[in-house]
Amino acid sequence: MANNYSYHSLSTRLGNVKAQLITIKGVIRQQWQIAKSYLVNTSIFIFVPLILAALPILLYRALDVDPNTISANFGFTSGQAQHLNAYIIFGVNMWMLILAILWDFSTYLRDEQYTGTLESLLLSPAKRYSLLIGRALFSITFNVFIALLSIIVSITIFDFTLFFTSTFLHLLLALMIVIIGCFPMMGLSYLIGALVLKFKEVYSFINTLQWFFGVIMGIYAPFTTLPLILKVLGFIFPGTWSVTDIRAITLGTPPMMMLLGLKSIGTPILVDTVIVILFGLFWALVGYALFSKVEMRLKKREGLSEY
Amino acid sequence: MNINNIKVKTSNLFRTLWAQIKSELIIQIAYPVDFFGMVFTALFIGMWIISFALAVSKSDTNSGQFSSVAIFGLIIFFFYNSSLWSIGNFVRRRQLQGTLESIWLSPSNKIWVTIGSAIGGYIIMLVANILIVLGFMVLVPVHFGSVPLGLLILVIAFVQSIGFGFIIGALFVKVKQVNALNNLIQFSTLIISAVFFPFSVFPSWLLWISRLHPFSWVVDSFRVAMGAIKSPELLPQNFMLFGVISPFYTEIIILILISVILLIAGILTFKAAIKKAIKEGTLSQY
Repeated sequence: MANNYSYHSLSTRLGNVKAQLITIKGVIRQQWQIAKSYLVNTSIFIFVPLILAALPILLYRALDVDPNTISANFGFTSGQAQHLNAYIIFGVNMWMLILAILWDFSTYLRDEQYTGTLESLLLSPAKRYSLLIGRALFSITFNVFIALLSIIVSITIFDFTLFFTSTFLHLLLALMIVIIGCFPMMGLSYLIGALVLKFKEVYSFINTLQWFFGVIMGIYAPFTTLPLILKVLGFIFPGTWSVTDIRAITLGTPPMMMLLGLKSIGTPILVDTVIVILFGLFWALVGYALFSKVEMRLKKREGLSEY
Repeated sequence: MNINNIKVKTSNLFRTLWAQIKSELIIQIAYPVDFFGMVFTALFIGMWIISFALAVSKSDTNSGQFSSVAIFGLIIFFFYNSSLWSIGNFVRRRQLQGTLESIWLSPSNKIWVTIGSAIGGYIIMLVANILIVLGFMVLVPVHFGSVPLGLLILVIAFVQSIGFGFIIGALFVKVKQVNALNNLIQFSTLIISAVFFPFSVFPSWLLWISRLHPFSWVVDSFRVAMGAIKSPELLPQNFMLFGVISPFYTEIIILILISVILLIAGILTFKAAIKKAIKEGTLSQY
């Protein structure tokens, strides 16, 4: 009897896992269908970083400054600002990737509200974490792929020689940092998602916030060149760590710990990565907790479908 | 009798225009977050560029001049953009609200209704830009040239953007998903019209492409008027029209001509698109 029970329990559990995997697959398929329907939008994510990178590149050419001056002001260790274009390209693309994830998650439930499918979605037997995992898997894979495409196009145009100086290991490590850097942003976007649910009209706020993130994460110049208050905000913003470390790996610029003048316990990049993972855990917990709280309150009071 | 008729018609036109401006202002004031969001967005975008200029040229004296070039480029870009999209947005908003057909069936002058909407947006933008300039003045030194000349360029820019806006409005009637196109036009304008840097950085082939974009003439003349650059960069050096008219005034003449042509072409295109949509019964489809 006991054996029979445990057999049933195991098969039920396996069935549950299978059901959740089907949910995840369903969400990924749904997201892919949506992405396919808006190909023009996707292509914008490839070309807009190219344009945003071209702005400062043309500007510094206009300024006609000595590369050594740039090198000194930017805190490069290589002594030469050989890859300033790539420096900007990585900054802009990481910013765009962060934005894509931020918008994807912070507006997830609001989009369902608009289409009138939120209540039916939450009433379905699918677990919410399966929906979120499906969304996260698709969002990170898709957006990282788009960012890589955009980086390849931009580097080919503005800094072709970088392809010859980077090793495969460098690129793999950079990709790992990019993917790890997405997780804290997902957590942060839940926090913003909670604001979206609570304060109905916050799209303008997020719109403004995205440009502010661009300032504090130092997409055109190192964040250490900013005034103190912005520097502090840049320090606690996870995107700053990711972009600084990607540049460190691929271009040989100082990693975050060195840029801050802190003595690292181990390899600086490794310490930075651990900190980014901790950031990920922190923001995920804070974001999810706040989001659940707001969601619960809305369910009890005015209802989730109102906006 | 005829004079009276003209008087009544003129008075009706202005009443329509005023009603629309008022309506637009009421809508915009109802969304203060949008307004302040716009001001801060402009400041943040400016900070990207200015912080970069300051970082790369810490020891150079020309960073201040480049800050002025970028700031005045950004301001005129925001101005132009607001009226450029106001007509398209007017059409789309009315489609969403389901009131576009009733507006078109009303006895009011539709062109004036749409222009009124653009003027409302422009007034809001004027206030926003004053705040943006004040914000920049806190961050970096901003030098002003001739403010009256700058205002003159703003008025001409408005006429041009209305013309361009009508073309985009026609596009909103015809094409249903234009948001991506909107982004592409905005970002490519940032480059082609050298919003953040002087035209002097362009190779000659790119300069020719810039000259084909009507907004480039607005940017260049506004910078000269505001004293960010000494002489127009889109015209050859020491260019004198008929041997007497200075390059700056030549540029203003070119700007007026382009603006008038665009305004006429825009109104005709918009009217044709609306007429076609009414015929096909697709005016309120989006």
